Amino acid sequence: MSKLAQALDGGKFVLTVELDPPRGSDLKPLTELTSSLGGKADALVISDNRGAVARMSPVLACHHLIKHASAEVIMTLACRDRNRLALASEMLAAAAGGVENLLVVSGDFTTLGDQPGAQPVFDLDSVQTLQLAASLEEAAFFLGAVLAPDSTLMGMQALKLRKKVQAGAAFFITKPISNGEGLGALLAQAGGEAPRVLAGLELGPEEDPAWAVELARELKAQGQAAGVHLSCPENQARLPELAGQLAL
Amino acid sequence: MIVAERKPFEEIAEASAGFRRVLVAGCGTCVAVCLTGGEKEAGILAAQLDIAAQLNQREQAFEVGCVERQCDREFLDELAPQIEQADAVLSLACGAGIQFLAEKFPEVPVLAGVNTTFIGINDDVGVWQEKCRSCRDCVLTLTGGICPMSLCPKGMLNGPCGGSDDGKCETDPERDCAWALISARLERTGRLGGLEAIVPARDCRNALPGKQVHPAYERRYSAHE
Amino acid sequence: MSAASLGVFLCQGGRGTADSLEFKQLRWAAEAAPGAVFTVAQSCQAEGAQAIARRIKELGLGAAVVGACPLLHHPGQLSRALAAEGLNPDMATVLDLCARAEGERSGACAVAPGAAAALSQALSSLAFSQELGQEEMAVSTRVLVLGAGLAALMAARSMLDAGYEVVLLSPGKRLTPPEPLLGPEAAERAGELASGLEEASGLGLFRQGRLLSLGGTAGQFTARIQDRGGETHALELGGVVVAQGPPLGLNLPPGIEPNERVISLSELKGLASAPEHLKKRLGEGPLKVALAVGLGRQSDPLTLRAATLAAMELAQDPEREVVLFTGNAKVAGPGLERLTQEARGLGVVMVKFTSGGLRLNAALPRLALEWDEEVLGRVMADEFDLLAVDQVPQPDDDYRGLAGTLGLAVGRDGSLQPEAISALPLASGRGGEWLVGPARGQGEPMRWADEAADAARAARQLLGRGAPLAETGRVLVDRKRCTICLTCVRVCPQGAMDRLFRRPVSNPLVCTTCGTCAAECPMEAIQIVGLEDERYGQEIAAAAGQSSGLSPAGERGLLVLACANSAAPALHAARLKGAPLPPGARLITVPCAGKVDLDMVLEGIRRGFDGVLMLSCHEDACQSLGGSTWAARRWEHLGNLLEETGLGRERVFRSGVAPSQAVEARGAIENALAALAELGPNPLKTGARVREMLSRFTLEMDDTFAIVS
Ligand code: SF4
Ligand code: SF4
Repeated sequence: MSKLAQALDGGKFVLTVELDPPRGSDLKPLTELTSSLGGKADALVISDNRGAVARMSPVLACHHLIKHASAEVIMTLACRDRNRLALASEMLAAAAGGVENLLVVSGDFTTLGDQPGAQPVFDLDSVQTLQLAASLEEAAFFLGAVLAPDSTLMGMQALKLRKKVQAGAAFFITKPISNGEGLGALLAQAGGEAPRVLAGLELGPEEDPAWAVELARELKAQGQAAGVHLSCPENQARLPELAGQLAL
Repeated sequence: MIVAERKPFEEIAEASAGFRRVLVAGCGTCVAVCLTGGEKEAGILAAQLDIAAQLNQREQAFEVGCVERQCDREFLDELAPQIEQADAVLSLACGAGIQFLAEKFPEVPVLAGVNTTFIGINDDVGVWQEKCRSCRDCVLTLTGGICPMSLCPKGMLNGPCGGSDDGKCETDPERDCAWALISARLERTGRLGGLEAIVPARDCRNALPGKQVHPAYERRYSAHE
Repeated sequence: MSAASLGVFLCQGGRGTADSLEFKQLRWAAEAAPGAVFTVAQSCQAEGAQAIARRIKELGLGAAVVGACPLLHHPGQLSRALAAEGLNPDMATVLDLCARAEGERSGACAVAPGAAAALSQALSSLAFSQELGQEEMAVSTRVLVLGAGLAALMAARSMLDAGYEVVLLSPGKRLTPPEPLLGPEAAERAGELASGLEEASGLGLFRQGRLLSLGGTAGQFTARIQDRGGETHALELGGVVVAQGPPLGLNLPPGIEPNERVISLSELKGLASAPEHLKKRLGEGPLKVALAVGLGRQSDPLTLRAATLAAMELAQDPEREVVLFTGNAKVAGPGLERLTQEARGLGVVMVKFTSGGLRLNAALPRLALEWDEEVLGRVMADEFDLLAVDQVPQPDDDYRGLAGTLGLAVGRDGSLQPEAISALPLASGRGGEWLVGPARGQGEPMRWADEAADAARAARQLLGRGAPLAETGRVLVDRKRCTICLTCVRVCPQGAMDRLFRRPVSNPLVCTTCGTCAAECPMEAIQIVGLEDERYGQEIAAAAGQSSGLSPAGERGLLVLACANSAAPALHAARLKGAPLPPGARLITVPCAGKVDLDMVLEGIRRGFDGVLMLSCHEDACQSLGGSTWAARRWEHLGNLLEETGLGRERVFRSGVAPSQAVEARGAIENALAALAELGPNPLKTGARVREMLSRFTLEMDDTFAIVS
């Protein structure tokens, strides 16, 4: 059982932090950032070609962080860039390198990235990818998926939540939110047993984190979330300091 | 029907520049209906090419032909007399028609005059919209008659992605989110429940070249007859 | 036309003309066409005309072309002479081939440059003209009237009186919904009409009914109507009167949001005439009321009048202060000025804006309004208890749906009127559907009775007594070419294209032979008899001087494609006024700019014309209700096509003229010629010249690629 799973099972209000693999081949800065995060975060979410911009493979980045920084990682895997064969082979490679947590995402569409003419794969969608991961006997991942609480298509998002749970998702990370309303409504609409949700809190490069701290407290107090997921995509150097404030 | 758009003129002019006698071959079905490759467009293109050839002092002549469908051998035969006289054929049919023409007349260089864009519908005069990707695994019964393979850029089969925003697609704020449409349509007919089951991964064997024999003709095309 | 019965008369005018090379060329051009050629010593004036008419009669000719000078053009000169001989006065076409302008009577006669080409052009177009027979059409004599209220009731009455069976489809329960702005007499009139109609035989009534669909074309519409019980009725209809307007919304000045102290003028009228209600709503005591008319969109005199009357009624009570703000109102209505004076006399404050306007400073509990006082040049402010504004059409989804079912578009003003309204007042975008009253936008109720009568007249013209005569077979759809793309059905400005047995067929009752369908058809499947593509091809060739073969290449200047409804009469008038076509311009008349095919223009360019000018109706006054709009769109595309070839779009021109704009029409030609003079000759001219030579000397080319098509 992964450390993340244990923390959640133990009722800890967890904090995850999102990091991008490098755009080059030098892993040193990422390793340093990880060390300076110290034990502030319960797990690091390593993104997968976020924004449809090519970066180092998250498989290698995760291996490296596990080996050299003893980090607890959640590896992101996007449906955008790989067909079912490649998805399976990445999952196996990840498992072999000690990755225990897997976050399955659809992935931002190719036209939004730096190679807009690239072939968008989407051979499997996120639900089907979760099914694929769950079916791998060789790798027993702690599976995560994404929730979109503030969508105007609440009914459809609730439907997807149910399908993701059915497909094997054991925890969820939401898209960035600014209050708990949408999340509450989504979970109510989805019905069934409330899943473990980490609320996505995204901060601008210079933004004062007070609101996020406040919201995290609120979510914790009301038991609406099992933790928070912190990201600061435009200034990741700030993450250690921000994580310090958000670790409740 | 199949929708196509004329290739950029420059590309066509360049491709045909080396031929003295060029037959501009229109097709009277889909590409005529989408105002791209019927008799009129063939005539206009020939006139344009003629003007461009004269301006560039190229000695070229352009003839116009048009048949009912370039995707049927019987109609293609009608072009034979004109093709015999031509140094090249510039076909304005869809990709299927162009290929069949090239196959039927292997001696003559065949040039493509259009880009085949999609299978779609005619919304009003001069407007077409894509509706089908010919995936060979139709989900329309489930999705309220709205195709997520064609209208959702990610081809999501189990519901919208997280980028769906206010009924619009993450790829373009002008584009409707297919799943917003599907959800509204199914809600209207009280069939949302049909979406609860997970749709399994789609069978992508449509990547193989398709060939279809009508069941009633199987015997005819079987090895034995 | 049989060749034997055509005569070509050429006036040899003054001394020496007959021996000139130009005159010989003219003869050769005439002889190249299938017809007998006669020369006439002098054709001008009444004597000349009479001589020609006598000759035509003697020879028993079926038709004649007379090449002469403008003197023979003079209104009816030759027609009168022909009539005097008992002949058809329209049988002869007079061509102006003279170099001399009107007014220079004394000058020597001379053949105009390009006359030979003009003559062969006329002869080739004549070769295509064809008389078609008339046939009785089977039509329905039932007319559907859509709407309720005064206009609809008037229309239903007129149609009944004209002898048509009427089906009245009222969207609501009441045939006389409240129309407070119309005043008490109108309400009374509507009441009378309604009770009269309810008893009339020949009237079918659907209250709260809905038009589900309207297929077919004029005279032979098929409608499906849902009654209030939800049952569907299928009906055949000859015509449809649309008297149903869009719903009305508050004409709020920009920046003022609706709130409970902002009401409509009609509501105010209701309140003003029932003091108890007014008190209930606003309480006792002094009251300050503002009225605003035409501060959002432009308003109409009727509304202004109603507002003034309402203001006066309110001001009767000395406890009330009334201010009437007015913005843009269409033309002053009769008696409005006097009414304004009377209102002032009663203490109504009138504020008129030319620019600027009314602003809301704060709402509730009282309205604080602020406005620019234009006379004093100051900003004024005051508080009011109530603001009443006029209403303007604001079509909702239901109304747009109805418009769609009718095959009409909702215009910018919210009404169903097509843009080209000035041409045909009641016409909609579909033949056999007439717009009356509120369907025409901010109407003028004073005219509704006339409109209803006009609609009945239009119905009589279209449907007659149920078997109108119409010329059939003018628009031919070649079934072998047609691929049923429905482009023609969609573009026809009259909605004349029906689908019979799945193929498009033009309904001659409403077809104006504008040719828009023919020009848009992607399969060249539509030909208009007498106006075929082939005819225009030959005309262009002739105009380019190629069939006479002797005109110098330098002569091909500007090809003018002139709409027969506007530009052609304008140019004719210009000629009669002494301003002939400038040298270098060649005229081809088209039934409507809608007929101008792109291949036709490209052909002109390839034949060596330096440029092509299309002269159409103004788009908002198109006689075929939209043919020129289609043409204008096509013209954009044409520019792009020419740009692609490298020739550039500068050689094609387009201009809109009215039939009365002789000077403008000629001006457009001169401008185009001037632009072409700057551009220099068409670079394709030499090629065109070579082709022409080849075509003449290489008669038999056993090559499908004969360069000349
Ligand atoms: S536009 Fe031409 S091809 Fe299309 S339906 Fe009409 S006649 Fe047929
Ligand atoms: S000629 Fe004009 S009015 Fe007649 S059918 Fe064609 S488009 Fe309609």
